Amino acid sequence: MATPENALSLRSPSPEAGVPAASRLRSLVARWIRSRQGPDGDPIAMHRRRIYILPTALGAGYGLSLFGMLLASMNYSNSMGFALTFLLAGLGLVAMHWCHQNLSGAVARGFHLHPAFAGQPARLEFTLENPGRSARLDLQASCASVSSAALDLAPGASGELHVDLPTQHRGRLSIDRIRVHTSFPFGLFRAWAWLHPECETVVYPAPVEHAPQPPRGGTEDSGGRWNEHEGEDDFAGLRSFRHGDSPRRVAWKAAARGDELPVKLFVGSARGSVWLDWLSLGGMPVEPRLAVLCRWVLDAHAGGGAYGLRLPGTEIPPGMGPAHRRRCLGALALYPGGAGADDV
Amino acid sequence: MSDPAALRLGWMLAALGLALAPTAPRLPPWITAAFAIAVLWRLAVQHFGWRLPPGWLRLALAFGCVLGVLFTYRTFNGLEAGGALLVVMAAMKLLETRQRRDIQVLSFIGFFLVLMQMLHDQPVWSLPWIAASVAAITVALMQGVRAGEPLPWRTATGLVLRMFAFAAPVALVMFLLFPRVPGPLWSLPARSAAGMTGLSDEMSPGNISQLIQSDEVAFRVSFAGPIPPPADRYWRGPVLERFDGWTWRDFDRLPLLAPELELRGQSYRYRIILEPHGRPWLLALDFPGRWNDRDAVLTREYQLVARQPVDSVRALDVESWPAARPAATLSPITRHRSLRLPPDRNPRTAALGEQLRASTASDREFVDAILARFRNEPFVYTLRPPLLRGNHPVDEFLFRTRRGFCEHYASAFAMLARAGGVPARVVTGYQGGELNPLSNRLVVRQSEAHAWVEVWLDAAGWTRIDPTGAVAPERIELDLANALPEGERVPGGFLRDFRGLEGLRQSWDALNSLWTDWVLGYGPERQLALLARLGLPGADWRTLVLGLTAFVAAVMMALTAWLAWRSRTSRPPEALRLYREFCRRLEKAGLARAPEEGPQDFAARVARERPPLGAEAGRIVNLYVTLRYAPPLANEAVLPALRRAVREFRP
Repeated sequence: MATPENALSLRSPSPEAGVPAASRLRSLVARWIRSRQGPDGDPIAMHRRRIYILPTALGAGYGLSLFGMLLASMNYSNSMGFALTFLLAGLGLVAMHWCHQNLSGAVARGFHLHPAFAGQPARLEFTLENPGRSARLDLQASCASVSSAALDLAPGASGELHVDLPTQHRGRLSIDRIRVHTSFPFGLFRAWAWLHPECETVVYPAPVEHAPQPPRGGTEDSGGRWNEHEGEDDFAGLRSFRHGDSPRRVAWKAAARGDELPVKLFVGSARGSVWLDWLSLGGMPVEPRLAVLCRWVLDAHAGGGAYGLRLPGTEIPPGMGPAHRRRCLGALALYPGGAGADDV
Repeated sequence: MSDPAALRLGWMLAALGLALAPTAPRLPPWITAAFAIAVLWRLAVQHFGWRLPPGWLRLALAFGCVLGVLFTYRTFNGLEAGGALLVVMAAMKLLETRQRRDIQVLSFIGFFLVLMQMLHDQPVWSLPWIAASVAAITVALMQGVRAGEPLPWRTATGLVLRMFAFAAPVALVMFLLFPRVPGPLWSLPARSAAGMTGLSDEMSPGNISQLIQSDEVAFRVSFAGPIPPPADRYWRGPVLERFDGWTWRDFDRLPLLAPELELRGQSYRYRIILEPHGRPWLLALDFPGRWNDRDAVLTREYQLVARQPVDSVRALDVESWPAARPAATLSPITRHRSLRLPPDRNPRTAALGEQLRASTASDREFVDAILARFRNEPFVYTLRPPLLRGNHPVDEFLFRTRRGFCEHYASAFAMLARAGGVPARVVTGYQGGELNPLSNRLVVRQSEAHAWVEVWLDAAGWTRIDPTGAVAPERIELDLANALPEGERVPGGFLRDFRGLEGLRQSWDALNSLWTDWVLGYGPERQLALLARLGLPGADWRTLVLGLTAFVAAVMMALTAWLAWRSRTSRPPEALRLYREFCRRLEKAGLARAPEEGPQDFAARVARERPPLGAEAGRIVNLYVTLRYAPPLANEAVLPALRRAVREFRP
């Protein structure tokens, strides 16, 4: 559910008194578009059925100018004036079709929404492909009234579009819909398509600038550093190789016997790690507390040591690496009592 | 200049320059200068990184310029003042151009500048220039609106030209079929005739000899049927009745209410295509009896005039009867007007007139006596008469200089006739015309401007007398060049002296006349004629709109098809298509390939799950993998094998 103070909210807000009719109409239209297009997968081909086109303000100005030219030509009974007016009118019509075709047939894929800290932009990324044989120019994406840079696609080429979505509160962030649009060639018309990909991320709490040192329990080692070789005592088994595994953890002897690459698994030991504990910050309100914890997680990660996180109702055993950091920050982000999900 | 903002600006400035160049000479110099300064200023801002002028300065400048236009023209209304205002606006807009939006506004102003130039005049040679300006403005608009970097000029121009290729047929059909409303929608301040050449509504010594300095075409005539002989080619323009001793002016142009003319004898039917001259008169052969323009009126002086000044090319069909007999009675008012002479001016002429009339028996003899005097005394027909300075110019001409052009003779003759008691008036117009054998049209130029006299003879009514014919009959029978004395030549006529250029000149004129007739003169009548030719006689605007819509829709469908064809997806290679067919057949048989499954894994699974298919599937996959990953040379024999294998594969 969107919150009233959430500036990003586009998903249909609950019918509340005081919502202007225009925005209610807009959300109705958005819902209708979503239901007529059906759920979107990945990739999404922008075929003709889902492209909308309307004149822009500039296009309306162009129309008015043409009308003025027509009146002037009529008044002076000037044939060349008529010819110019009609040529420009024809050009407007051509521009409309051109604009439509510039978008129609493009394919969007690989939607990814990166996590972010509250207050900092969350980046939405996806790839736009041009499977056709003519160039597509000036393609832009926008989401929640933030636009990406323009993209030109040569025939058969593909390119990245990214939109930096502003965030305000920690919590879950999902996007409601993305608009891919173009107003090539003359900005007289704008063609757009609505995409509804499944795309979600979390917004971490904003870390405080300076935080006190986390209190040291009796369980960490002297340096607070984790040593890969020390953990070898806690060998737990083998699993098959996954992309990203360190070659040092491949069980090369076992690998020589078969055609798979086995990787050694270790059980993290409590020794040599630090615990970041909710309770050690007694007396602070929730959000500042989470902000401090967030700073601690970042520092602990930067320090390179193993760390664990204890929150009321959640305990993340010590670990390290980017995935662990993500997990800890995610737990902070989704800690109950936040302002709620930022739905874009 | 790789800076995108500079490039955008550069495109726009170049386009505006193109659009403005043909209009610039017509504008007051200060406006052109203001525009040039604005351009230089804006370029300097771009180049040296100056700041744009602050808001108050721009406001003050804009205010100053608008006041300047007001002081120059005394109005904002009308084509000249409006055009000047447009240029000033463009200059001011340049000084605040920083965003895309400003560029867009500038491009719209540019289109209006082109329109303004067209409203002024539209000779055929300006067509390429106009096309280039429109294309340049369009490219500049595209570059200015673009979110990314400006496109390379070749790409941009190519795109715009392709768009125009589709816009042109739409424009053509709209041009032909869009319902044309005759006449102006609201009254416009008369366009000042200053920039245009043509007959004036007054005549004083030197007027017409100045007009004939121009070699411009006044009008063209195409005859349906016979063409009148040169001596009958009197094209009637303003009829002047008021004489102040120096200048002849017209009184009023009241419409002729009762049909006074008795149409008899041979008639000539023709279409006259007038170049715009900024005055309301339409020229017609003496005497027009029938015409097809509801806006045209015959005055009591048998002059054809329009209700509005002729500001654009105008075509009308007229039928004239040179031998028509005018009214038999002269109203007292007209008689009074046609006899009035200013007292105390030209006393010797007045005395001569009275004396001549007294010595002759009838009005007719009196007229002949005056003509005989012109013929017998040493009068010279010349383009360069001596200046007449005194208060009695006709006396000076008749008794001292005796050298003059048609206006001198007409003026003197009319004055003498009036002094002798014969009602007389001066008629201005054109006499003659040159037949262009290519277009079969009579081309009448400003250099054929002429003035003659009409006198009232009780037996015959108004009778045309051409005193110039008495002095220089060649002027009437041949043309001006033959009538002028040795050493004087027709201005602008030097081209005529070269035999080789004659053909070229005539082809050029034929092209111009086609252009004028079919493009500039395309109006409601032409439209109806075209529809009749298309088999839609009397089509109303509904039919027109319907046809128009259908055609535009057809062009747009062609465009859509072309655009779709242009951006069609490339066909996958045949090997891939065959492999997909193979997978499809297996899927029908219940063995669907998982999305992440590679060809060889898939073949292995097929062999595991359906052993009888295994061998064939393995062979097909091997052929496919060879085709996809082996060097291209190996494909010659493999592709047909794969084709055959897939065709015969029946899981």
